[in-house]
Amino acid sequence: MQLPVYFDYAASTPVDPEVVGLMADCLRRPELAANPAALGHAAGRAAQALVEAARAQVAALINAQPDEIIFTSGATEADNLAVIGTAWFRQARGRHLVTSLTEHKAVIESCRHLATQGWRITWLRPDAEGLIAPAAVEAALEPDTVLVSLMHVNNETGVVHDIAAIAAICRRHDVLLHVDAAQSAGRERIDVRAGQIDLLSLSAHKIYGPKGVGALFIDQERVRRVSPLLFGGGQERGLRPGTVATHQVAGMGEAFRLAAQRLPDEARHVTALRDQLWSGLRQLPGILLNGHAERRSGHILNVSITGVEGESLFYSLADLCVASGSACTSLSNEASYVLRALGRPAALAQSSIRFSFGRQSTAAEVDFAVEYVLRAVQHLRSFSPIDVPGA
Amino acid sequence: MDYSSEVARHFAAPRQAGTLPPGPGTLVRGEGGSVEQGALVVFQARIDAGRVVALAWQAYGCPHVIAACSLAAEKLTGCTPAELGTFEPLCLRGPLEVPALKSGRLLIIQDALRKCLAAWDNGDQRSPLNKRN
Repeated sequence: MQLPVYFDYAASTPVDPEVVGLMADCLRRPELAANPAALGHAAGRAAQALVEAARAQVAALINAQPDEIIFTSGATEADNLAVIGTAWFRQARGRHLVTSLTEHKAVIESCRHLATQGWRITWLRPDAEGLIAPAAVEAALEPDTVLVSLMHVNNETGVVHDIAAIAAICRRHDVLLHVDAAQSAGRERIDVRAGQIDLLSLSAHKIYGPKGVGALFIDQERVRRVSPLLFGGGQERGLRPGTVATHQVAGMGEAFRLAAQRLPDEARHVTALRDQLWSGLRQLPGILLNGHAERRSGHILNVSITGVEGESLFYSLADLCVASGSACTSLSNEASYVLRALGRPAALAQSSIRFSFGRQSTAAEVDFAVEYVLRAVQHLRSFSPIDVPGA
Repeated sequence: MDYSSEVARHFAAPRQAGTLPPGPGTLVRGEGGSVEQGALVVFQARIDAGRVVALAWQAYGCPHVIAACSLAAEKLTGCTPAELGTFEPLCLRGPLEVPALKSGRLLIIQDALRKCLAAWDNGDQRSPLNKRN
């Protein structure tokens, strides 16, 4: 087993070798080096063909039409374009949005930006298990609400929101629904048609594609267009100008093609590992599961450990690549705002660990992690002044 | 965050961590910080014949706090009770390479040691400390 063991697939995944091969091919072959917008010559058309093939592959994973996919630099940009672009384009209709306190910062900061421009934002608070009740969404809608933006799978807790019920409410009130699917695409089945989703953000590097590329699905019947955030070209239907990075987009397409093939097996694989880990860790006195016990994606397990300080806990786990709620381990310098929104005290938010699993994760790695965490917590508790019942 | 090798050494094998068993002399305790503040430190000192003959600590805190408690306990064992009150915890910054933004955490150790001294001055003898719930 190679140390440190990687349990941070929710943050990023290694690029699949088949994706690497395709991307390298794109970069190596001079006939694919042309600008995909240069349709006047054969090389440009060859590059464009790769881009369009990738667009179809991305669309296929979510049951969209290829021309409903706009490539971006990642899910963060897709979220920004969905939230701000929709709000700007529809401001004549209204200036109210609904979102939640546990969204990714890409949505939260987009909403905050709009708030500085006069938009009203309703921030939904999840219940103690991290779920947003569809009834709460309905209650938050106002006559001038233009958009509801909620994530499918929470990136910290892994809870799966009831998007189908929320979408039905949005349709009934004729309000657009944007879903951040950065964590769920390729891991949960997504059907934008059946699910009545109007806009959906996607990331490549969360499912074994390259970093630096993502996409926004825009329903052509319901949304048609949003206001662009960038200016200077007509690429991506004018909604996201800038030369399309052929190799990045091709890599994303290949990753999505592979994800569609492997989704059922991989979902079973990661869910089994997650359950194995929880089964091992739950013997630890004072350990708490963060997020709903049932309504959660198979690839994430988030726990808080009482009586130990987050930074020391994280430091003790140097042989594991995990995510921590500790302020000192993040760029934001604050304890997990997601867990705080669930009502966890700051100390428990700080002492949280997110394990996330992927294709290369193994049962032996999970066994190692269980032993390693138990030993680390025992060490920290050996000199902690805080009593943990049963410890 | 990166930690110095000295912090790593103390963190892996903390000196004098835990509580002191009943024994001769006077046992005093002092506490600094809180869980809400991100660091809680408890020191316990056994004072006999005008000297701190044993010192133990417990801590909930970052690796710098753990290492600082460990190093402070080493340095102060054998000192006079008055030296518990005059100990300057910022002197630990250098040996442990504690970054400036963490300096405040070291003051929590000073608070705990001063409370030990205050307990001694008040003639306050305590039983071995109990863990908090």
